[in-house]
Amino acid sequence: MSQDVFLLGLISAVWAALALAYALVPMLNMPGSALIWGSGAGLFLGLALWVRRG
Amino acid sequence: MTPNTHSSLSLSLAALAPGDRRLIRSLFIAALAALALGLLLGLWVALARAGWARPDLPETGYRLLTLHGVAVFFDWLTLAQAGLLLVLAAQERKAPLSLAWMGWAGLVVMLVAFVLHLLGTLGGNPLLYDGSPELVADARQGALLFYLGYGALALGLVLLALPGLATLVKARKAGSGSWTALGFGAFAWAGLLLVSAIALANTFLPAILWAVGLGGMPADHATLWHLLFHNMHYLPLLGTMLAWYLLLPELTGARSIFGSGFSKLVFCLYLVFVPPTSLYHMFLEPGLDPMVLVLGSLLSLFIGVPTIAAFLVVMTSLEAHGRARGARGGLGWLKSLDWSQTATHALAAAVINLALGGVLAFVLIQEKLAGLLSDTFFVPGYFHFMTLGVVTLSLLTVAERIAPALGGRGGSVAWARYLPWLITLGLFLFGVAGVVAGSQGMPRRVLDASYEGLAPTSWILLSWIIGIGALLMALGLGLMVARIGAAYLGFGPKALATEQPQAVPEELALKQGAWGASLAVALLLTLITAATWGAFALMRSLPVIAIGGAGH
Amino acid sequence: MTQALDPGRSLPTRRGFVAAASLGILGLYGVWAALGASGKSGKDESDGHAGHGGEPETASSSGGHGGHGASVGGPSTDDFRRLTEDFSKRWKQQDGSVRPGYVPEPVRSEPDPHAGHDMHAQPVQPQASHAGHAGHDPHAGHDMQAMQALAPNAHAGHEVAPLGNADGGNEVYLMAYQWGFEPSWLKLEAGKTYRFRMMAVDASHGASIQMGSGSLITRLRQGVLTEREITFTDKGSHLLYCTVFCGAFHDRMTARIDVV
Ligand code: HEM
Ligand SMILES: [Cu+2]
Repeated sequence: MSQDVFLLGLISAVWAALALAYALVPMLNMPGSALIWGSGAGLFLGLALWVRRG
Repeated sequence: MTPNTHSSLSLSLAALAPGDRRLIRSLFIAALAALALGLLLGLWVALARAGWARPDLPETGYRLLTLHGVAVFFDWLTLAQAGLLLVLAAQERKAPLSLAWMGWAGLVVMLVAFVLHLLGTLGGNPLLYDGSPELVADARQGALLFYLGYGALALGLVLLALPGLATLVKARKAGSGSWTALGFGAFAWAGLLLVSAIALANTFLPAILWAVGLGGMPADHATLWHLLFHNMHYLPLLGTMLAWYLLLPELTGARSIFGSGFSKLVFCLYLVFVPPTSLYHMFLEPGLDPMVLVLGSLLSLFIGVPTIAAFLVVMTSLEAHGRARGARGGLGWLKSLDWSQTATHALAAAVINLALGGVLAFVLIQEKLAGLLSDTFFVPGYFHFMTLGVVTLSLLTVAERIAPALGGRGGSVAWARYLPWLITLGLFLFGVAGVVAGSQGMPRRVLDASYEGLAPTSWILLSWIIGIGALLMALGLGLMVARIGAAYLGFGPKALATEQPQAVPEELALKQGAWGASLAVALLLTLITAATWGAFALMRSLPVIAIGGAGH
Repeated sequence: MTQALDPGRSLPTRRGFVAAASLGILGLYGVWAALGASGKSGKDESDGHAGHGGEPETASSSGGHGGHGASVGGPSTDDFRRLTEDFSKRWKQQDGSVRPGYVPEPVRSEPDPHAGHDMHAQPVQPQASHAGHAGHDPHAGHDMQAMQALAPNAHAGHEVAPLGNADGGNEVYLMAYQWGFEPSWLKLEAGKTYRFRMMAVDASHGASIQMGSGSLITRLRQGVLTEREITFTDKGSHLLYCTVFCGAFHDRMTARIDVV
């Protein structure tokens, strides 16, 4: 995997983890964040795949 | 087409289809128009606050502020960033753009968004640009238009981002199968642009539904707005870094000496750290867990890491390059820059404003200080260094540099060099007076902070200084916008051919003891420490002890 | 990466150096710690003020709703409106200010065995007419004494208290609405710790107090009860103002707190 794709995937992975934390840790009280960064994670996954396919 | 310059940027733009160049040119013209309008409105608000030009009705004043926020923060920044994205894509692709029609559609949608915002602001209750539904419970129609403006903006963002993304993907395939650092940065940035569109929809779809009677009043609008705002104000900061990466080789011949892999990592880290740092907008919200406050402050520090890294990469490369070419002494490399160019002055001013704004930003992310500084004029006092002094100056510089290659004019005039400094001087007055007034509690978003004589008298004096600063900012920025706008419309002196400075061999640059940027960072950290300490000292000197609630 | 081994490369042009220098910003956390600002909220703020911080219950663990300063399960806006009205009525002074814990309401319809006595006590306070200067009032000390002297009578007020809690005027209800505050004029004592119970009832507002060289900024969300324990250490008169944009007359939204 090229560095470009790897880094895009990394962004996606970190955002997905954050979205989970926002969604599951009630103390953070940030469901809105979970939605945005969860979609962002999906989006960047899609972008990474797009770049990989070319 | 004017391929009479030899910079790689103008060659890339020359390789576009004529329609592509027209698109980029149109985007910048629309962007400049929004900025021109917005800066006048901002000036009016500042003069109103100083008591020199207060509108008859308070509603009018708040409508001016609403439109200032919308026109500069949403319209100018979006359109100019869309233009920059296409320029970056062209630089990577060196061939016509993909999906250029979408860019045109995006431009049209942006104009529709502006009209909707305008109508929504002029009718109905005065909202500010966050459009809190609580304030329009009895006037949903005006608010509906305003919210639809944001809906259109979200669509516009998507349409404007996609041609850039598609062109970059093509460029990567056509090239060596990997991007340059700039190409990767542009792609990731455009991705974040799409996330901002999601955040916009997330915030304003519920409001739209409510305004047409299809849903309850969105209770968490304020929170959603913070998330959107958080995205929207980091986006142009990353765009600014990319603009610097783009312009420095043009201006100085210097390229990053740290390798493209490292730059890509820095851009990537920037995106990684944006989401967890949104908490600091919430410090004053009632009901946050104390642990969240501590976590929020700590995480907010992390956004500083890629920002400082990018700063060091750019500045150290520049200094090493200058030294390798024979510059001597501590500041010889600075003197050896091409100061005959307006762009050099604008970017130098931007670096200084970044330092000033950065120091203040790191004071504001301390959660304990929220109860002293949030919702005060400290906030606009500091962020105009960023939005105007850093981002707007940098985007304008890109616009200025590419005007000739887009078929416009753009010859240099000597007085244009002073404009960035005039703006910086104005910002300094506006910002410092604003920060001082803010730390004394003078609120933001009020038209008359005298409170019928009940407020400290210093607020009045400080508002005058803010007003004078605003006048200088508006004068400098207005002239800059007028000059660049004229070039885009085909007026002004013809551009002369410029040679791109030659790069020095990298081995030579790497040997230089280029310490300037590192020392600057050390100095900044010291200033941040001092400023934070000062704010704490002030807070603790107040004759009051408060526990609980928010902000502490 | 080979560059680390490259002897021809100067230190500031090394990637590792840039990475390390960038991480230097995290050192700010150390600065915060040194300033006493890194720990759990609420606690450290009271460090230097043990006298005030020693209350068994801080607002960050406000009783009953197991959360923080603000609660989801607090009173509704209507309840809060009523509580505030009761509070204002209960502690209303002749000069129009509201001074919790001072004397029981002098004019009261309920049969009160001490009412006559109270009524009698009131007119001998001549400063009521120029109470606008309460902060500098030469009679302030006298007020305090009067209050203490009358304190035993306070049980009368207690019996009729609609608030249902036997406070000695330690609680302050503050309601923010478009466009004003209720009460709009508070008189509070220096050195006494008050529990402010605040709510914005129609839209979000702020309830910030100008304290001279700085302000105490508070954001109130609509319908959310926000509680803070506030102790004023010096006498003086303070502007209370709204710091969250709330419509056309946002900047007219003020009240006064006199610390006596
Ligand atoms: C000549 C240039 C400018 C002047 C004189 C100016 C002045 C002002 C003033 C006086 C305020 C109101 C502060 C308050 O009462 O809360 C304000 C708010 C604001 N300005 Fe500017 N400004 C300028 C340029 C810009 C630019 C270029 C941007 C962004 C790209 C910007 C973004 C904002 C934003 C986001 C707000 C906050 C609006 C709100 O709180 O609703 N300004 N500006
Ligand atoms: Cu208000």
